[in-house]
Amino acid sequence: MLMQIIVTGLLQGVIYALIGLGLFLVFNVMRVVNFAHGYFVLIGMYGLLWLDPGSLPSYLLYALAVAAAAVVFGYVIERWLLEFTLHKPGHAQLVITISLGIAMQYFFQIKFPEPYQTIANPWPFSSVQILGVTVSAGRLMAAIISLALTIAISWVVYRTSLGQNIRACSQSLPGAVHVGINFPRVYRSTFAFGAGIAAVAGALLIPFQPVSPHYGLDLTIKAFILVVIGGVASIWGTVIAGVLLGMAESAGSVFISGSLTSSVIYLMFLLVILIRPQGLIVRKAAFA
Amino acid sequence: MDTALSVEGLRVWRGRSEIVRSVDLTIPGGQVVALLGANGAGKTTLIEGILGQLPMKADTFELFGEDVRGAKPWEMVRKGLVVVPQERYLFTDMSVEENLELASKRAGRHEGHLFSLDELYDLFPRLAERKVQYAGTLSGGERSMLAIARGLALQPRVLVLDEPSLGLAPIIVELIMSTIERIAESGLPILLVEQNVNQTLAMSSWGYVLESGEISSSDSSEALLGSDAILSGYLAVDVESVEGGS
Repeated sequence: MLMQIIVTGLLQGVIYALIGLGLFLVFNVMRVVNFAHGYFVLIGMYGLLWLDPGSLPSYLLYALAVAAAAVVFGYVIERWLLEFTLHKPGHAQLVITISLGIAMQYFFQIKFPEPYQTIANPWPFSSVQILGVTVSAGRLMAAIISLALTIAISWVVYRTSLGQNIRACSQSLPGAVHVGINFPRVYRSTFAFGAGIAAVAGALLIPFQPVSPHYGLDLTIKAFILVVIGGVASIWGTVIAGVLLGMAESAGSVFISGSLTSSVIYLMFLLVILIRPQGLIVRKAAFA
Repeated sequence: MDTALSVEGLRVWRGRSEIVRSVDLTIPGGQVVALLGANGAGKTTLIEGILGQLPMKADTFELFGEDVRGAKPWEMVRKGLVVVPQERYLFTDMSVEENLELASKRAGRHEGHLFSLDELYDLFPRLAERKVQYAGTLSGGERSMLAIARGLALQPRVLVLDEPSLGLAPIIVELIMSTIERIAESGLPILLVEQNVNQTLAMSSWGYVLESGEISSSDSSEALLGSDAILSGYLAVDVESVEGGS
C-alpha cells in the first residue's frame, strides 16, 4: 500500500513538475500567471485524441506535431493578445489568461462532448512491476520522458546563452534592456515554449489519464500550487513540489474517497502557506 | 572628428506628461560632455528617451551619422549606444564575472578601442577580487563599478553614465571619477550626467544644463564653471555639499 502511494505519487509528481515548469518559466520571465496553462496541456491531450495514433511511431510523431501547434498558438497569444498589456497598469493579463482558459474549455466541450476519454496504449509493453507495484506503461514512460525534459530544460536555462537571456530578464528586466536584450523576443519564445511543454505533457498523459474539458482548470490549479510551494524561484523546487503533490494526491486517493481527494492537495497548499510561505526552496532574490 | 551622437528638437514623455521639451544636444567624437541639472530636471528622462525606453520625438537624431529615430533600446545598444543607468540594474543573482560575460557576449564589433575582460578587471581591481561574488551582495561603490564595467563590456561607441557617483562616499567617488577619466583617454565619447558639478566640468570639454526639461545653458565647461548658471540657487546647494570632499 505504502509502496503504491510512493511509486505512483513519484511518477505522477514528475509529470506534474513538467507542467508546473511551463508556468514557472513564464511567471519568472514575464511576471505573468498564465491561468490558461492547464488548458495548454489539454491541447496535447485532445490533439492526440483527435489524431488517434495507431502505432508508437505515429504517436511520437503526432505528439511532436501537437507540441508544434501549441508553440505556434502560444506565440500568437503572447504576441497579439498579451504583449501590449504588459508593463502597463491594471491587471489585463489576468483577465486575458483567465478568459482564454474559459474559452478553451468551451471549445473542447463543444468539439469533444464525451467526457473521460483516453487513447490506447502506444507503448510496446503494457505494464511493469516496480518494487511490487504494477505501473502502466503510459504512466512510466510519461514520467521518464518528463524527467528527461526537465533536466534538458534546466540545462538550457543554466548553461546556454538563451537561458542566460531568460535569467537576465527575470532578474532585472531594465538590466536586460540596458545590455541590449530584445526582451519581447524572449517573452514570445518563453511563452511559446511554455505552451509547447504543456502540450507535450498532455500528449504523455492521454494514454492513461482520461481527459475532460474541466481537467484544464484542475491542472492549472495544480501547476499554480506547485510553483508557489516550490518557492517560485528554483526549478528543482518546482520538481520537489511536484513530487510532493503527486504523493499527496495518491495518498489522498487511497485513504480518502472520491471528490475529497483533491482536498488533500489544497490542504497541503494551505499548510505550506501557513508554515513556510516563501516556499520550499528560497533563493536570494529572483530566479537565478 | 565625427559626431558620436546628435539630437535636435528632442521631446520625451512619461505617460502623458511631456518631460523633456525640445532639447538639442551633441556629443562630439572623443569628447566628454557633461549634462547637469537639479533633481527632477529631466536628465534621466532625457537619457531614457535617447535609449528608446520612453516615447520620444525628435527633428533629427543621429548616432555616428545614422538616423536612429524610432530605434528600439536593444537596437540602440547594438549600434553602440550604451547607457549605464542610475539604478545600475545589475543581474543580482549572477556573479560579477557572469554579468560581464553576458554583456561581452552581446557586444558589437567596431573599429576603435575594444575593452577586453582583462582590461576591465585592470580598470576596476575591486571587481577582480570579487569575480565570483553575486552582484546582489556588492557594496554601493562596487555596484557602480560593475555597472560601468558591464557597460564597457558591451563595447560602446558612445557611453552615457547616469550619476555614477550617486550615494557614494567621497573616496569612492574620487576613484570612480578618475577611472572614468582613464576610460575617456581611450577616445570613447562620454555623456556624463552628474550632480557633482565641479569634478564633472573639470573632466569634460562641454556642458549642458537642464532645467525643467529644457536646456538653459550650453557652453564649454570652462565657461560654465565660472558662470551664473552654476552659481544660481538650485545648483549652488549641490556645489556646497560637495565642496568639502572635492
